[in-house]
Order: sequence, then structure tokens, then C-alpha cells
Amino acid sequence: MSLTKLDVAKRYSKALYEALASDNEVDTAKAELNALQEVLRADPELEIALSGVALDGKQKESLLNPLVASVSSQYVKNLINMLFEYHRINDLGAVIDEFNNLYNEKHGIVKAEATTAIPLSHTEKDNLAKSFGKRINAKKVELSTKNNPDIIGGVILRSSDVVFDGSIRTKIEQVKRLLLK
Amino acid sequence: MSIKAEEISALIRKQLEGYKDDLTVDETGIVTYLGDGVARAYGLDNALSGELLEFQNGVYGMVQNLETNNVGIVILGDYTGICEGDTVKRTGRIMEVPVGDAMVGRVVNALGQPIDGKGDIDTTQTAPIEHKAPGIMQRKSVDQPLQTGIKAIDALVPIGRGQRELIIGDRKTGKTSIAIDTILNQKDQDMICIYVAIGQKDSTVLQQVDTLNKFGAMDYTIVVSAGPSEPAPLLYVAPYAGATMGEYFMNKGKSVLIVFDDLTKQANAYRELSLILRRPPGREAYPGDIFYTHSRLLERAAKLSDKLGGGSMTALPIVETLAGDVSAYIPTNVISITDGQIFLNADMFYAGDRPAVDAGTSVSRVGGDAQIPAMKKVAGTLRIDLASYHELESFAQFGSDLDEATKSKLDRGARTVEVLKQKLHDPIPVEKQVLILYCLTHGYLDKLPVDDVLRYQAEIFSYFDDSHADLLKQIKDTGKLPEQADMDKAIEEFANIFQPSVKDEEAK
Repeated sequence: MSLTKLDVAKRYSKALYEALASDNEVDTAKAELNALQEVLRADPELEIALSGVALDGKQKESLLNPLVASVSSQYVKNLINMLFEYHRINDLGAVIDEFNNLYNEKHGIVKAEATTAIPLSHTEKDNLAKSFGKRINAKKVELSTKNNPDIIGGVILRSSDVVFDGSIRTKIEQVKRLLLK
Repeated sequence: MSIKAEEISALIRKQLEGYKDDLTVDETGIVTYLGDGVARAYGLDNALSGELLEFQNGVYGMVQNLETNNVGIVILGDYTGICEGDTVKRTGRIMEVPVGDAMVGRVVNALGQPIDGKGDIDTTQTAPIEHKAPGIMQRKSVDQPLQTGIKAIDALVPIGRGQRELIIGDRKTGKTSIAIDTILNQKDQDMICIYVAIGQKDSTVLQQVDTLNKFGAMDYTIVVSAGPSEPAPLLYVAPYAGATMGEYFMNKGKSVLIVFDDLTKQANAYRELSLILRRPPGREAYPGDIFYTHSRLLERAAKLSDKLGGGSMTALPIVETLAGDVSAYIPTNVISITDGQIFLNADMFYAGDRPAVDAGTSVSRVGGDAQIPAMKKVAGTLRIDLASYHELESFAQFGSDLDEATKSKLDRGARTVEVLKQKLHDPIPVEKQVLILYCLTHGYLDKLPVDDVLRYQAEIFSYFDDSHADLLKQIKDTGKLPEQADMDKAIEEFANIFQPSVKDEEAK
């Protein structure tokens, strides 16, 4: 079976991270990678053009060169060239995503999404992030918020695979099940 | 209205007291693929193999494959309501079905939910469907007979309690009938029967349930049905669910008879699942663990040691062959797992020799120890008689040129075949089986026209019921044959009053 995008991304990002960590360049490279990710997101056709067959090698290189020139880290430059050479340039975005996941994991940063019925104020958001961080032993919580009036009240926190559900909707549902028993 | 509002609110208050305000923490995954009865989900990093999962719309699933980036899930229910992108939740439980005395007399689906319209099943106990079979020290060798009430089986391929005896044959050769007749014969034997219908037409299952009801057999029977229109995962788990319900009674020291009708369809369902889960296909496209699927199921049939209460679970798996081909994959597998097989021959069935038990290829590797001594004595030569009869059968066409010995062998054989015929849903108690076989092996039937044999049987049964009930009782209670003189005397008395029908030649 051929490797999935996720397998590829995991392997490249792990190797990249270890190489960068040995030279203490992780943070600078991360900023550059994220800038690169912005470029890819802004122009989704770039990856397609680079990996497709419509352009020949020279044209692709001319597209790729400004990208390579824009970064200063040698490792990141090498990464782009290597992915291009191995025909995996369309996995670049996934590699950067995985790299960020790896970075967060090593630095105890947890991403979470809070769903509430009404928008949260800044202090509320900070408090929520802090108490959530304490509960799951994370150094820092990057909290994004979402509004959904359907949950009536309370908060639903989703962090990677785990859902902490303290919404009124779920509680009502539980009471309903209890009464029906 | 007689119910007062206060009463209701008091009731609600009482129930609400049991409510705990907890933050629910769920581990979830996202459905990335959905096939017939199978889903794959990303996430669920800590899920265990065999764990029960809950989909967003309340349908349950069971973890089957654990891979690097996803888990393969079989869906136990309607999978049409699930979409790509739905969330799946871990439940932390493994799959269980309800067990208990209240299950008896009910028709349930593979999840143990009632489908007979008789309301909820009043039981609080559940047990996991996958359970490790009893080990060597927990077992005892099979020593008690399980009477099927079918002469051809009790005499030639006796089944013991705790044995696994395969019923195998082509489609429409009476496999299910043998199983149902065996259940019917367990009336008043303090036996719990479980009939697991896997992929059987709902109309057929209804017919079987009606038969069981008509003969009063539902009082001690549980029917587990996973119909052909249900998703493959339910067909796959149905026999395990049935075995779990049986184990409950076995562990209580009771005797259980479980029929799996049939394992071919379960194997097909499992093949379907495995292929959609992208497991590598093996012979006949069955997955590599198809043997284990059946062996771990049938291994759960056991005779428990006295220390554990001495309960037993006898399994009668059924396997369908195509054009009598027992060397196909599933039949050979199950033959090698079980302690013997009852082979049903399509030619015999169409020739009218029903039940169409093929004496030559049917064997029981354990049951002989469990046969009552009287039966052992009268049935001892039966197999050889039949074998030599079938060998000589082709000569029968040249009737006039045969010597005495051959002729007598042929006569005996023809009568043996006739005696082993039996009507549908007409089980015969063991003492009467011994009686008719005694008449056969002691030559009392040799003088009768072949067409009279079954009439002779019916009449001698009622004669013994009326005049010699003590002899029958003696066989039943002691398991031994009465004095030969007593038996011979009683049979001769009957022979004197029996009127053979007039032969055609004499009538002319």
C-alpha cells in the first residue's frame, strides 16, 4: 500500500524537527514555515502547479526559486528542494501542519476550541484557557472560540480528540435519558 | 385521570436525585470513510480492539482494525444515517448482550433486543459477547447423552452433552429440521435451547418459531435472529451473542443446546466485513482468521467439571455445502473443529429416506461414551449392516441369482433403511428407539414386507405402552436392556396379533 499523506508528513516533519533542534533553529524556522504556509494557503493553485504535469521542470523551478529564496534557514530551503525532487511537493502544507503539531507537543502547547452560546469576553477566554491548561497539564493553551446558540449555555471544549462537554444541551439530554429509564 | 400531578413530580424528583452533574469527557474521532456496514475514523487514539463506539446519531459500532492513522469500525445497526465527518465517541465498554432467565421464550436480535413484540425483557444482567472458552481443567469429558429423538442419529451418530456436532449438507436437505426436531425432543429434559438464525429468511424464522410454539418448545428456547436484510456486522456477532446467553445457563449448572443456523452465512458476513476493512483476502476470499472465528465460537461449547456445577453447552453448528462438496474451505474448517458431523445426502433425501442421514460419512467422535448401554447393544451392528447393504444394493436388481447369505443381508438392509425413516417433528423417546432397533437386530422384521415396517413400529409402540410399559420404563430408568427372554416374549405376543398387509402376488 502506498504511503498516505499523513504518513509522509509525519516522517518529514519529524526529521526536520530533529535536524533543527540539534542546531537550535526551531523557533526561527517555525516562523518561516508558517509564513510559507500562508503563501500556500493564499494561493492553493501553487501546490497543484508544482506537482502537476502541465509545467515542465524549468518552469516549475522558476516558480519554486522565489519560494526558496524567501526563506533564510538552510534546513527549510533543503526541505523544499527535497520535497520537490521526490515529487512530494504537494505534501508541503501537510508537513508544515505536522511540524506545528510536533512543536506544540514538545513545548506543552495545546490547541483547543471552545464552543459557547454567547461570545466570550477576553478575560473569560483567558480564565478558561488557564483553568483548562491546569486540568490537562499544558503549559500554554491556544484557545479559539466558536459560537453556537444551539447549546443553550455552558461550554464545550474540544482539544485534538477529546471533548469536554459542559453544555446545557447535553445536560438536558442526560436528564431526559434518566427520566425515560 | 387518576394520576395526580404531585405523584408525578415526586417520581421525577426521586429520579432526578440520581442525576449527577458531571462534566462529560469523551474521546472522539472523525469518520473519514463509510462502506457497507463499515466505517473508518481518524482520531480515537486510545480505542481498544473490540471496544464499543457511539456515532453522532446514536448508532453503535465496534472497533475491528487499529491502524497507524485510523481505526476500522463495524457498525452495529443502520449505517445509512452516518456521514463522512461525523464524530464517533469512545464508550469504554466492550460489546455486551443481556442475559438471564427472562430471555427464555423470547425472540431477540443479535444485540439481545426483543423483536417478538412482547415488550421489554426484564433482566438487568449483561455479559460480554466475546468470552474465553473454558480451559482444560474446567472441563470434563462428555458422558451424558443428548437425545435428539431421531433414530438415525441416536443410534448411529450419538451426541453427548457438551459435544459439538456439525450438521452438514446441501440446501434443502433437512438440516434445520434436524436441529428443530432436536429442540422439540428436549421438552421436559431440563434443557435450555438456543436457536441462532444467521441470515435466515425472516419468513423461515417465523415458521420455526411457530413450530416451536405449537409443540410447546418456546418455554425453554431462546431464538436469536439476524436476518439477511440486517447489516453484516450483526450477522457476524449473532452466534457469539447466542453463545453468551447459553453460557449464563451453563455456568449455573444447566444443560444448554445451541444451534447455529448456519455458519456459512456468518462466514460470508465476516468475509464481507473483512474485505471492506481491507484485510488481505485468503482462500475463497475469506480473511486469514476465518478459522479462528469459528474455532473460538465452537470451543465455548463444553461440559464443565463438577466443581463448576457440571453444566454443559452442546453446539449443533450447521454448514451448507454446494453440490455435496465437503472439501470447500468452510466445511473442512468446521469439520475439523467439531467432534463429528451428520452428513445429509441430497440423493437419499429425494429418494424419500428422511431424515437423509448418510451413515457412511456421518461420525460422532465422542458420543459413543454417552450412549445408554441398551442403545449401544442394539445399535452395535447397525452401521455394518447398512454398509454391506449399500455395497450389495446394486446386485439386488438380479434378485433370483443371489445366494441365501446375500439375500438375507439385502433383506436386513432394506428393513434397516426403512426403520431409520422418520416423520418430521415426530421425535421418538430413547426407550422406544431401543425397542424397534431390538426388533430389527433380532430379526423380527425380516419376515415382514418392507412396506409394513413403519406400521409395525407404530403398532408395537402403542402395544408396549398398553401392555408392557414396565419394560419401556426399565430401559428408560436403568439404561440397560431387560432380560432377553422378557423382551422376546413380549415381542412375540405382539407378532401374533400383528396383521401383515397382503402381498400383491398372493392377492392375485
